[in-house]
Amino acid sequence: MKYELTGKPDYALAEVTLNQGESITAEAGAMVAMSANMQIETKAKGGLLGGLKRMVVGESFFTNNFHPEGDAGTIKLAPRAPGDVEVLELKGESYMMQSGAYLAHVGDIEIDTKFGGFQSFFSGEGFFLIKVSGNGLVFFNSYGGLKKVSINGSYIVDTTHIVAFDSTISYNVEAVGGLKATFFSGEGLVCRYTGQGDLWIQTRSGPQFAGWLNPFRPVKSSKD
Amino acid sequence: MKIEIQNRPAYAIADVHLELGESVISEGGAMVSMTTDITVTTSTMSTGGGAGGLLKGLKRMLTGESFFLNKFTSSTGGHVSFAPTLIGDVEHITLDGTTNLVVQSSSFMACSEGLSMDTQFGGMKSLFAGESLFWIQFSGSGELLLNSFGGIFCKEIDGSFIVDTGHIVAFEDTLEYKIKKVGGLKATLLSGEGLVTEFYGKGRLFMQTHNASAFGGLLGPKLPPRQR
Repeated sequence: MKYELTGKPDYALAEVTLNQGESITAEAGAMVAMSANMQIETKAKGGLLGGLKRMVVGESFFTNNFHPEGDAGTIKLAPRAPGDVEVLELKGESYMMQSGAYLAHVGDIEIDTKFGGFQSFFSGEGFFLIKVSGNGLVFFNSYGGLKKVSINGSYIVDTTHIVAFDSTISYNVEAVGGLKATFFSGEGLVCRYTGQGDLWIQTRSGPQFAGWLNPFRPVKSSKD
Repeated sequence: MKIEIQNRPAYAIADVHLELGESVISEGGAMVSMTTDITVTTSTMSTGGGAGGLLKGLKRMLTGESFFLNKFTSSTGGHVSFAPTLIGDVEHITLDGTTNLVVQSSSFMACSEGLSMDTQFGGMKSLFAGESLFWIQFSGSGELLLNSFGGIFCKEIDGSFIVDTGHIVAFEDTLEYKIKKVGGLKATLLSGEGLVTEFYGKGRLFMQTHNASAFGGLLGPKLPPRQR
């Protein structure tokens, strides 16, 4: 297995070459192009219940498994939003990831859904986290650029800008500032991190862009 | 205050490093991340006359004319990262007190506390009919962070120059301007260029490569209708 990340950081694409007997699992819809000897197998990851759980966290119900037949093969994968792609090499560690940041994985990787916390249900921001662990590679993506922050102590991040973080860092979802700041600051909820480890943030926010776009939607007439 | 901009030009993000007791002011929603020594206070900015205050700010928010500002103050020395909503660049401009800069409201991202912000600047307020855009005049000396939709570029005008109004990011107030139609009536209605601004005199004009309302107008009709 070989991979190359091209088009970074604006329009990143993961180009993966697989030998016979090797395979990659990717989020449904991530495949851009592939060699003709690639075989595709669609699965509800983790069985039906796991699939439903994935749907709740805002990911697609299905994942696709690709493997070459007869010879080596290549596949190109891209995220849904314009942005960057990076790879985590896991050797037994685990990372938390914002739902939607997962692109693909190779090897013995377990994907578990985990909710971001009670408050997140009211934020309207869908702050759901998944946990990736095991041995292998995890391809993840961002909307906008990726910025790595090494935390040593504490740090605060807007929840919509979180991409992934070392699962050993502890976190708490909270409102920013006082009551007035919370309601009017436009900052919504933030995540307060404490501990030591790596954190990736994205330089643009999906919900914020959606909020910007909202006024441009046509208005429903009263007859409907 | 030290400012570092990364991921230019498409997904720019600005890290503002503050010293003990120093503050930076930003538009609401621009904060991405920060160190834990930072305290945040929110205030409203008066647009087009009248005092600020919470109630007026709320009213303006409902009428789509609001402008909330957040002040980030460091107690031990730290940093705040700011990013725009749309894809595009961030430009750092230092004002030295000799020339004022007029900024289109959605292009403002953050500034140092020492700059004074004036929204009373009337001339171009009604320029974008139906949009919650206005103009902010910055004076004094300090640091200013502007964002653009797409790339940002500067032109030193000496004479006259025409720019599509939706592409204006900021301009020095040494420039005079007038709003005009492009060409005759047929060109105004059919060219897709709408109204343009003609600047004349001497000074810097900052423009963006893309027009945000044109992009919104492109995507909006493809989305399901919203309730009024």
